[in-house]
Amino acid sequence: MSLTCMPVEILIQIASSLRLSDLASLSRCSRKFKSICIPLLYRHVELRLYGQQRRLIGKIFPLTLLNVESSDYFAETRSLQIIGCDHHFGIDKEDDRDTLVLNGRQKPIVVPLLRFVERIPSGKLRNFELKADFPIAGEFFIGLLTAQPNLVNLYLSFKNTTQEVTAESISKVNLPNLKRLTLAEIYKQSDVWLLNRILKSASKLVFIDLSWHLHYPDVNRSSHQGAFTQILQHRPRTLKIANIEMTPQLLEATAIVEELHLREVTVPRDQDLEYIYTNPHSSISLKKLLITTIPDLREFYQQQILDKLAPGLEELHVTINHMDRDGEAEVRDNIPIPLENITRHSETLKYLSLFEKTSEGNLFIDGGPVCQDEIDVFRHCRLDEFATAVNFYCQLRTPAYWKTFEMSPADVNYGHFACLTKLYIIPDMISLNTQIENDQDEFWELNPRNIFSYQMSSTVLTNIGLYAETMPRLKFLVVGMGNAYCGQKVYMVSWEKHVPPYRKGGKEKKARYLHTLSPPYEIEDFREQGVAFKCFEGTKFTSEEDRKSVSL
Amino acid sequence: MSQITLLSSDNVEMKVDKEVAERSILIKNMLEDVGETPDQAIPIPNVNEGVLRKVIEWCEHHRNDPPPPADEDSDSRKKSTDIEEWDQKFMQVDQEMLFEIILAANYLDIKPLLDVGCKTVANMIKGKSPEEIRKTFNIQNDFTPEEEDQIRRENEWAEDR
Repeated sequence: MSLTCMPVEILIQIASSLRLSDLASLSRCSRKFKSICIPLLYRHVELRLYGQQRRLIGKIFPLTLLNVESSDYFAETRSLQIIGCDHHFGIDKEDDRDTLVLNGRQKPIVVPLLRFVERIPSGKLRNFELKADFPIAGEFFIGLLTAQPNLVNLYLSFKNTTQEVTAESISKVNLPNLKRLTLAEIYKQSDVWLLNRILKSASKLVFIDLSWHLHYPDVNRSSHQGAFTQILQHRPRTLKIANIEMTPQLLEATAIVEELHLREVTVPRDQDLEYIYTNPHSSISLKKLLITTIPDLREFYQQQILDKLAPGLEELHVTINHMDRDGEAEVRDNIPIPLENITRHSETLKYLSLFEKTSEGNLFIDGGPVCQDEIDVFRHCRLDEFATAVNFYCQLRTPAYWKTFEMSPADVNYGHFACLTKLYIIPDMISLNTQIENDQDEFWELNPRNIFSYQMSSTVLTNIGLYAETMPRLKFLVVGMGNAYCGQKVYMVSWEKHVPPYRKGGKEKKARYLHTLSPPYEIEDFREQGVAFKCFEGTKFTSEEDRKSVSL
Repeated sequence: MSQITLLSSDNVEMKVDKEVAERSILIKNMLEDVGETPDQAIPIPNVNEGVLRKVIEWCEHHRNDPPPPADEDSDSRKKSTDIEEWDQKFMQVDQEMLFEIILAANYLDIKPLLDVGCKTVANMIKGKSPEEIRKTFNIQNDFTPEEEDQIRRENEWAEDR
């Protein structure tokens, strides 16, 4: 008996456990192994596109993948991801190995991409994600969508896509099997046409995530209204909407969906219109709710959604974004929504994050006790997960809400965090210091950010251990706010009971709990063990499920 | 606790707790079809005594494990090759026996044992060059040097991933 004699289905299972580099090696062993490994090697294809979009210069890699000519290699390709961002790496002269240097002024950068996707047989793709912050002609993705009608998952960022696409070419898009749709940075008229076309052609969408460009022109407004009526017809389980005006249909959706995200969904400050935006439902049942809004709309969301929620919420995220710098008058020492809006869900609520943010980061520092509202939340609810904000440099906790206090074990009692299994620490200076290096090896390279994250974790855990009344349950401390692929690190925590030594004549000492911290892990490292984490992408809270590739 | 008798391909009878034998979905379904504990030995024609003993040993150790999730997506690539310490030791056998255990787990429909076996083989492949893999598993190279070079060039993108 030898490996070669094993049945093909078992060899496929063995190969399925291998990393891509090992699959590539195994494919070179013999013809039999090549036939087994190649479909697996090319099942999920990922291209990276980095560039400086203003200069139309960039890089796409791996070049050797772009250059694969054998179209039979792509016969079983199910997933294509084109991922990238505006990054200085795109114009670096060094390290050009395995990259194709793009110069959009000399040659449209879409050309190599078009040639590449032509090798994927029509109708094979189940997943397509275009998340590149670099000018890509609309004809590229419209052509791909037309050729791949069996998509189940589509993520399309219109950011920097160029050229309007004609209504005629959009009308050829037909995605009847689509289940999950994400369209980001909707801006052009043709973007809205495509949205309407997809909503019309799909038979049942269960997940819809739509975000509009911040400068979405008013002239396109009439064309997106119909989309919301179609969304209601799909009755999705999850609906995420960002950067657009509230519509009556959106409030109606509160009674249909299980999970609702409303990020910067605005209401015009026209009193006459208020009745239009009245939620027609007196009681609504949601399991997960995210609201990110400005202070002026706090009351609107409270009246139209939070007050009407029937007990049963499992996850709640509320972020109030203050547009100005922290003025004295705005300083609050309570949580941003009434305590009753939270305690009503005490039987079911497992995850909570509440933030008030300034446009320039939360630098307001004011020593004081832990917010009483927070203590009350923990007294009423049996939370598993909680997110709070910490200032990285000053080692001060800054506000999840406005109240801040010194991050010193002597002053702060973090004992209430001992009941959690996961604690998320979100660094407060969002623009500069929040991403923790992606490569774990760099953790050991005395990178200041990594050291701070470790120190911050240690300080928080020391405090919990000193104040906890019983052995803390906390197993995971998650630090950081990142993007879709990096930025957050997970520390595993273990606890040990310690009774300080009794000294003659002294008082008997209370037991304390000492922690041991693991090295930092990636969030993805725990997926195999069935441990899921929330992800913090800027101010956008998503579940890990949202950013992992769907299994196809 | 009721026991059943299994009969290996080389006609050796082995008594085993019904609960342990039912780690095999094949045997479990067979017993459910019969409806009662059979008096006669259940023949396992594809598995010899030595392999069957190893399989029973694994089932004994894992008798209280929860059943694996039924709807696990067979299409998703399971990149983890982590194996529990006990299973690692259990799989420290020669290649012949390792492949026999995998085949037996496949035949008897014991998915967790099949997973452990496949991961063990995957771990033997990890980090090796094609030549080292061929040597480890005695695989005959049927490519011409030009063909092999072309495959290497085409799949170069995957080499550091």
